Amino acid sequence: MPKSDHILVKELENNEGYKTGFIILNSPETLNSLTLDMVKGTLDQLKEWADDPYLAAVSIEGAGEKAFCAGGDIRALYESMLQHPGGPNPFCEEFFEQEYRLDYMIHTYPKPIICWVDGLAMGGGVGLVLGSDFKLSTERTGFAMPEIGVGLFPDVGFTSYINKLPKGVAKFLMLTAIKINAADTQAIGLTDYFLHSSKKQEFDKKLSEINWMKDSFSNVQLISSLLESLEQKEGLGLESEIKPRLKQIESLMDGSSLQEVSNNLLNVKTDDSWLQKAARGLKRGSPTSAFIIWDQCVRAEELNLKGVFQYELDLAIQVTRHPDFAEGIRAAIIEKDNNPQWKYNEINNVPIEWIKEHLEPAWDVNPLEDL
Amino acid sequence: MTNKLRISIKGNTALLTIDNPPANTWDLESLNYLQESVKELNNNKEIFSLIITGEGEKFFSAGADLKVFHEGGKDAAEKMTDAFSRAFGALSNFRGFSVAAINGFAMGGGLECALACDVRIAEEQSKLALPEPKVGLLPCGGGTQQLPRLVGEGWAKRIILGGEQIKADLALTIGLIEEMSAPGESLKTAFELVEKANMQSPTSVSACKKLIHEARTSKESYNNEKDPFIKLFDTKDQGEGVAAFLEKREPNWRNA
Repeated sequence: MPKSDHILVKELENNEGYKTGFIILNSPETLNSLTLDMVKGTLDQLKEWADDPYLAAVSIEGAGEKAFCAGGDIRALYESMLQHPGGPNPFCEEFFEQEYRLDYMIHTYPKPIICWVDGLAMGGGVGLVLGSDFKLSTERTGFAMPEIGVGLFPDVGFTSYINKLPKGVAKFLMLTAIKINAADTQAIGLTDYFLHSSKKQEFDKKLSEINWMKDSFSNVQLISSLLESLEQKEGLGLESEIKPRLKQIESLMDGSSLQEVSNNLLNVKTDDSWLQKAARGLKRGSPTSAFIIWDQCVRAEELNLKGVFQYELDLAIQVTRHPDFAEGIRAAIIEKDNNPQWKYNEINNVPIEWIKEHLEPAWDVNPLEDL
Repeated sequence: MTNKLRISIKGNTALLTIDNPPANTWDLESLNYLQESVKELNNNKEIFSLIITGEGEKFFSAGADLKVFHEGGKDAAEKMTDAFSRAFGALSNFRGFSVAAINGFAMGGGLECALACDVRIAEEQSKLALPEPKVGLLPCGGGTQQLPRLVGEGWAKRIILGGEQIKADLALTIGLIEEMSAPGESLKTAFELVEKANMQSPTSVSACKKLIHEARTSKESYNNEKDPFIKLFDTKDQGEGVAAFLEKREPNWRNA
C-alpha cells in the first residue's frame, strides 16, 4: 500500500466496516520535508480514500518528535534550478503543481481531516495543515512561514489565510519568518485545539474506537466531542509571544507601501528582543520576496481558494526562473554560509520592472486551471 | 465582539463570515453578535446589501452547538431559542438585500440562517437539512415557518418530518435555493447578484422587501403598495433615480 518510501499509511477498523485512515510523513532525519514522491503518495492515498465509502476520517502526522513537516524538499528544487537557470524547469513545475493540488484537496476533502502538529510545521508543512478540519497543536508545536529567508514567498495557500488572521499578523509572519508556538497559534486561530503530546496514543486509540456514521457531517461532531474531552483546557503552560503584541503588530504593519511598513519595523525603537528578532528576519530576507508578499496581501482580498493556488503557482514558477530562490537555498542549506547575495539587496533598490516580471503569468494556460 | 462571526465591508455590501471551526456552529455569543451587527448595518446608510457565508470549504453552518442542550437543560434551551429567533428575525428584517452563500453543509440553525436571507446560492457539494427531530429537538430559528413558504408544505414535511438531507441540485429544483454554483464559487456569485441589487435605489429595495414580507400575512393585494409608493416621493433617491434616467447617467444613491 505505501506509495512512497517516506510515508506510512495505515487503516484501522472501527465499527461495521468503517475505518480510520492514518498518514504518517516518515522522514524524521529531514524533518519530514515533502519530496515530490511524498506529495504524490499522499495525494494518491487521499484520492483513493475519498472514494472509499467505508473510510470515515483521516489523520495526518509526522514521524519523530521534532517535526510535523518542515516544508518542501528545497534541496531537490535547488539542484533542478541549477540545471535549468531561467526555466522552463519541468521538475520544479511538477513539484509545485502537485504540492498545491494536494493542499487544495485537503481544503475541499469530503471527509474530516485531522492534522496532529507535534513539532515544527513550516512552509509546505503549514500548507497541509491550513485546509484540514481539525488542527491540533502540542507543547512542541512551532509554526513559521520562513520563505522570505530563502528567496521564495509563503505559498501553499497561505494567501487565502491572510485575511483570516488578526489584522497585520499574516503580513508580519510572512515578512519576518518568525517562528511561533502553540499558545500563539491558538491565540490567532491557526490551530483549533491544544493537546499535550503525551495524549497522542490515547487520541489514536479513541479515534479508532469511534462509531463512525455514514455522513461526514455526523463524523465531524464525533471528532469534535473526542477532542473536547482530550484538550488541555486549563492552559498551555506556554506564554503567547504574539498575543500581547497584537496591537503593536497591527500598527507596525499598517502602511500604504512596503517601504513604509518595512521602515516601521526596522526602525522600531524597542528593547523587546522578540520584535528585534522579527526585524532581523525581515532584514535578512530577500527584498524581492518582500515585494511578492506585499502583492499577496493585496490580492488576498479578491481571490477565492482556487484563484489563490493558481496565482501562487504562477508566482512560484516565476520565482524558480529568477535568481533569489536558488541563492537563498544555497546560503541556508547547501553551503550554509548564511550570507545570501540577493539580486537586489535593499527594498529601496528593487526596480518595479523586476517585480512586474515576477507577477507575469508563467504559462499561457495555468496547469491548475482544472482545480 | 466575537471572532466567531467576522464582518467586513466591501463597497455598499457587508460580508458576514461564520467562523467557528470546524462546523461553524452558532452559540449565544455569535447569535447576539449577529443581531447587534444587523442592527448596526441597518443604521449605516452606506450599506445596501449583506452576504453571509461560512468559513472554509465544507461547512456553511451546522447550526446550534448541541452541547449547549446536553449540558444546560431547559434554562439554556430557552436562552438559545430566544437568541436564535431574535438573531434570525433581525436578519430576515435586514433593511436591504441579503444573500446566503452556502459553501457546504447547512444544517439546522445553519439552514435557518440561510432561510432568513432573501436569496440563497449553494455550491454543488452542499447538503441542506433540518435534522432537529433526529436528536429530539425541533427547528427553533424559523425553520418550520419559513421552509414551507419556499418549497411548499409537502417538501417542507419531507425535509423536516422525513429527516431528509437535500443536495444542492435537488434544492434548486424544489426552490429551496435560487442558484447553484461550482465548488468555491458561491461567494463570487453572491457578489455578482448583490452588485445588481446595489445599482437599484436602496430606499425602493427596502420598501419592496417590506411589502413582500407583509404579503405573507396580508389578505389585501392591490391597496398595500399605495402608501409606500407615495412615501418614496419624500426621499432623495426617488428624485435622483428619475432624474438620472432622464439625463442618461448613473444615479448616485443616498439611501435617503
